[in-house]
Amino acid sequence: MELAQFLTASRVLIVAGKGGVGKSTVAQTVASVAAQAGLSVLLVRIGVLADQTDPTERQTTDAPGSVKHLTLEPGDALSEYLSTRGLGLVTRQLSALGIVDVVASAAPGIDDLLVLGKIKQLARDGSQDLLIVDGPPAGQALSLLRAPMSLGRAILAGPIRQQADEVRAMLADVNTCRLMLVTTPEVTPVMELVDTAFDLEDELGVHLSPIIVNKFDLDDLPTEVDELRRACRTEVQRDALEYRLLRRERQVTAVDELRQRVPLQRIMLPDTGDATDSDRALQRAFIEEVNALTGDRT
Amino acid sequence: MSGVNDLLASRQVIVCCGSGGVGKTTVAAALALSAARLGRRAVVITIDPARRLADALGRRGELSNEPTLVERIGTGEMWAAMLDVSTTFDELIGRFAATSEQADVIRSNVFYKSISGSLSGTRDYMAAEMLLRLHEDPRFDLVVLDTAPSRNALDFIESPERLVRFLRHPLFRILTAPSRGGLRVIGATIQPVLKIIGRVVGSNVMSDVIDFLRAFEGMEAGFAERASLVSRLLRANDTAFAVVIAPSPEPLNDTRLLVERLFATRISPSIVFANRLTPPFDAPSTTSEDSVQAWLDDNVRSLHQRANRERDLVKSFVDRMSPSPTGTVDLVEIGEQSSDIHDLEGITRLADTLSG
Repeated sequence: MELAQFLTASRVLIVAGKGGVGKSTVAQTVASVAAQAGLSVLLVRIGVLADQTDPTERQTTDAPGSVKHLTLEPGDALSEYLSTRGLGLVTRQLSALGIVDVVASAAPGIDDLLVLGKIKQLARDGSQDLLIVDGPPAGQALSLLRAPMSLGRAILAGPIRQQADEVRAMLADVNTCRLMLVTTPEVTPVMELVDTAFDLEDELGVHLSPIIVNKFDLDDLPTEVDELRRACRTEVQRDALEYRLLRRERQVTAVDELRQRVPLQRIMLPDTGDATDSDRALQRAFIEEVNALTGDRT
Repeated sequence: MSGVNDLLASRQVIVCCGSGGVGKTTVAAALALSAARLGRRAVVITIDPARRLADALGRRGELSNEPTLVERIGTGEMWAAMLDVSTTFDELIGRFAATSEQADVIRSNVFYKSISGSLSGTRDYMAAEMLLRLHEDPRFDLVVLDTAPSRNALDFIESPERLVRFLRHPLFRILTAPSRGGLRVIGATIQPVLKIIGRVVGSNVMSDVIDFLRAFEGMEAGFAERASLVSRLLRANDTAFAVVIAPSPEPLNDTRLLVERLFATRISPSIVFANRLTPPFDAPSTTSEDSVQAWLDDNVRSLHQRANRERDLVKSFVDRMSPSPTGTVDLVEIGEQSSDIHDLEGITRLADTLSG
């Protein structure tokens, strides 16, 4: 498949995966590749941990490959929403009293919905070719993406309801939005991904892109395993070889599991061990793998 | 490894924190098992375990709120439980409600249902409640708690106090003041605003909240007392905080923020478990012409470099933690296990590693 075709198949690409699988690295890789291919790219981070002094939105453009960055804080979304509806002053008073928090708890998911609403708005205004959303960890991604549906059930009319309907439509629209799930080649994250993938597709009709298998040992062995074993001259060579082989075997088992359970293509990215030159290696591998994808399902 | 055994022998509560995907649940379970080997009656509370691990710990059917005996080792015992948020909340309501009618009114309130089922803050609060409950339970002398990865990792510690602050807030009194008709008697400044919010989020939402707060009346004292007990337990000398990390930059940064905030709330982790480390390999000094030999040496070299990078990451993490306000931090390095841990056997192997 052509890289450009893959990258422009939808305007929004949501990247999600369990903690530690390298979701943010993958989002950054796709963003850099897209920027180098000449697209204008906005990389949106959701729910940055802890630091509550962070402003609701931060936009920077100083990143490499002309990728723009934006951070959205779900925790502040309702206040911001009320402010944009001409309730700024009142909202500040309400926040001080804790009322906004009460309302946010009363309709759980309202913050999540408003964050998705913001993404929808960014996608609609068309100023970017591609919006890449570096989403929350897998479990939270589910509740984030479910928010419009559950709120749609709880709220029958009004602007929030309308927002929920529009966001649902965006999520289910193949031409607007794709979800890219990321896993490492280990059994536990793979099984979690399997559950998440089916839930998301069934409940939300969200379109899944090929799955990213990150940190995979892609190197070819120079010769047969037995020959390698025989060639070992030192204890450390032997130990290191066995360690490597065992890891590869586990990775292959996990990927087989994934292949059998989820009928989606896979993009394998190398295990760079977070080495300093890993960015380029990941980008190259991503491009190669996309070129090797078959069929029309992107 | 004496740091681990000291901890397991002397403490009554061990709270494991860290970001998701670092193997926190398995480390927590291995700690409980190691404690049982030392003759203690230990229970591990898991929050959101992978299904196969839950099955492995649950033994007879599903793991639930009610602890199950996993293994008996001499006089020691290992138990496991899994937090069930809404059941725990329901029981708490039952405990503090003046009458069973009051409890029923609350449990059937729409607002209560939405916060008890799905809110992450509630989950953290109930984890704290369950910790306290099992700590008070005479069947156990050590509780190991696996905390949930959450957006704000300190929710768990702050959630009980936050609830109490909320219940004691003047707003609460205004909203729950006896009235003839919902929003009507509420202060003149707040009323129009609540109406506007009601229009935005749906008018039923605000009235559900107010109904809930009214139904809750009289229960604040009980909740407040519980919250202060939890707060004291978390800062007690018999309680230790363990930080679990894996050598990957992204989660490590998140965990660093968590630790800084722990310090800010007067809690100092006493031990760090660095999980999933590549074992050390000595780098070869020679280069070979033969391609297979060169590959074998490169393999050793790249694993050696990886192991070094990982240990540097861990070291800089621990260096930035200490000197902790209370002194030293123990570091326990755990090598990458030869297989994914999803059964009791895997936990047993991990426990073997921990106790040296």
